[in-house]
Amino acid sequence: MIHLKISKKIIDSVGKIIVNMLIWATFLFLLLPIVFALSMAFDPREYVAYFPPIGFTLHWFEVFLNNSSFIGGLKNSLLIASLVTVTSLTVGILCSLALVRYDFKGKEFLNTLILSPIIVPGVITGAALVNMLYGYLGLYNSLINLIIGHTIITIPYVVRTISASLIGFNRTLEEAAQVLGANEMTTFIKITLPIIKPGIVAAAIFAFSVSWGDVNVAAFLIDPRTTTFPVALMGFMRYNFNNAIAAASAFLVGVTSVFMIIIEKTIGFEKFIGLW
Amino acid sequence: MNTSENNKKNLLMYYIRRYAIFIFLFPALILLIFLYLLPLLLLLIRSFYTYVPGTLHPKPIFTLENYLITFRPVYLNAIGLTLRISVITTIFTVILSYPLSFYLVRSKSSFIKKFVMGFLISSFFMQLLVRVYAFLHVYGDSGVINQMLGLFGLPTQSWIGGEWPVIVSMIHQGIPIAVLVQMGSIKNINPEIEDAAKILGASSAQTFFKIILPLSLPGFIASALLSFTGAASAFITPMILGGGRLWMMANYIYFRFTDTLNYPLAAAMSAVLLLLSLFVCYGINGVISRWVKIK
Repeated sequence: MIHLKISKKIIDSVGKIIVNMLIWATFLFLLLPIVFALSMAFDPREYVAYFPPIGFTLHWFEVFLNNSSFIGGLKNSLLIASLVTVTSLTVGILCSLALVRYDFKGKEFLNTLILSPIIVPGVITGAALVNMLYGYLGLYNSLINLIIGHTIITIPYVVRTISASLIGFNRTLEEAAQVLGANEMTTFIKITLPIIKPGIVAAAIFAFSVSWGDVNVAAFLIDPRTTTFPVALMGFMRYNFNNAIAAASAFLVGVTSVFMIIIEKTIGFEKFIGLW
Repeated sequence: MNTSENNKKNLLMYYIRRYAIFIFLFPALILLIFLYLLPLLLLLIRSFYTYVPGTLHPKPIFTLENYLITFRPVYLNAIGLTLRISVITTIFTVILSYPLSFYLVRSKSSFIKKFVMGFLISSFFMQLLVRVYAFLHVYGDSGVINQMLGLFGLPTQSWIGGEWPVIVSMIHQGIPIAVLVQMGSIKNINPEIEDAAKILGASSAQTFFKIILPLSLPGFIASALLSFTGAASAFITPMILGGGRLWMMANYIYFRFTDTLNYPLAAAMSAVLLLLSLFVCYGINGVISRWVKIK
């Protein structure tokens, strides 16, 4: 019996060591390639070369910042992602309220429909939308088309995140406000919104980042004059292979770090992640 | 006077309350039915149109030609490749994400944990292209792997164009979102249940397989679905890390549409890819549920 207990303990601790090693190996696997790529942003060689950079230069940042398609794409992407965040949140909050708080016919169907843009490959959504928007509706403004496309692919993330925070919501607070004489609108703005605020912030970050990073849908919806940043990067990488991409990466990582600090200071990583 | 005004207001509120649900659902329904479901349907219809070379306007004459082309050996190979790469990617992504998610949920708050989380969240804002570019530095002819091989005196080789760089890069892309999804369901497991199992004499392995794993099932399935569809619709990763030699379904769809303007063929391929990925998603759901039940 004692013998058995000891061997059980050994198996347990060996298992724990293996699991721990796996965790750190996974993390290094995620981190290291990015580190390699970033360090190459400062490499003076004119081609994609061996890993340790042999010197230090800011030349590639200059190339990146002087490339008009990058800068134009960056502006468009920022504009589109911000507007998509607004449209997607508006549609998503209203829809989550209906889904969480009401019972109605076809609720299951609607739930599936809303989540389906996650399951349907983005290329197909893009191909379907380009036919509809340009072909049938005659909408030739690709900025608007991109906003429509991105709102559709971000809706599932927004609805899931906000529904989650509405499900864990204590409705007695709303009832109390209404007993005290507040109407629905006031109750919603003064009680409901502040309580689900972390969910809304998380949903906004999801919406922004999905729109910001999307290539599959955007590749179909752009036109020669309006491109997004990821599509500009794709075009650049198809024909040039130099470290300007690394400089773009380093630039993005810098901007992202600022975002991260804002997230940590406003809602905290743990709360942000727990909301999915 | 005052009461009639009040009545009017009450009546208005009554109507708003009564029809609130329609107001709430209206924007989502418009968006999803007219700008999502309908376009998918139209795409399906277009896949039966006849292609006219050199124009974006196919003739509305019914044909099965596009589907016959889709099932030619070249494209069948692409379908096989897409399925293989996506399934392998999904398996590795889900399994590698799980311990990391578990660690992030259960360990005490520390600087390292915050760093890991910050890195994972920042991956969402990092462009896909940047991550693919990073893997060029790993797998390229003068990349890190070949350097390591050279260091140990082993023969270097050209990795670009093979399937593994694409798969590994896709796993790298899939893990952050998979971790996020899995964490949600791990968070819902009450740690006291595990303690109870251990007090009753279960080993760590038993507790894990019989209690924790079944309870984290929803996150497991959701992360598998996300990484599968992510991989199945990727065309950037195979385009760049495949060195022009790896053509997955999404590559053909994109290429047929942009370069030869053959929308009907792209539509037929989309329909096949959509059917396949729905089928696999359904399968993933079933397989994972059953697998955990047996355990």
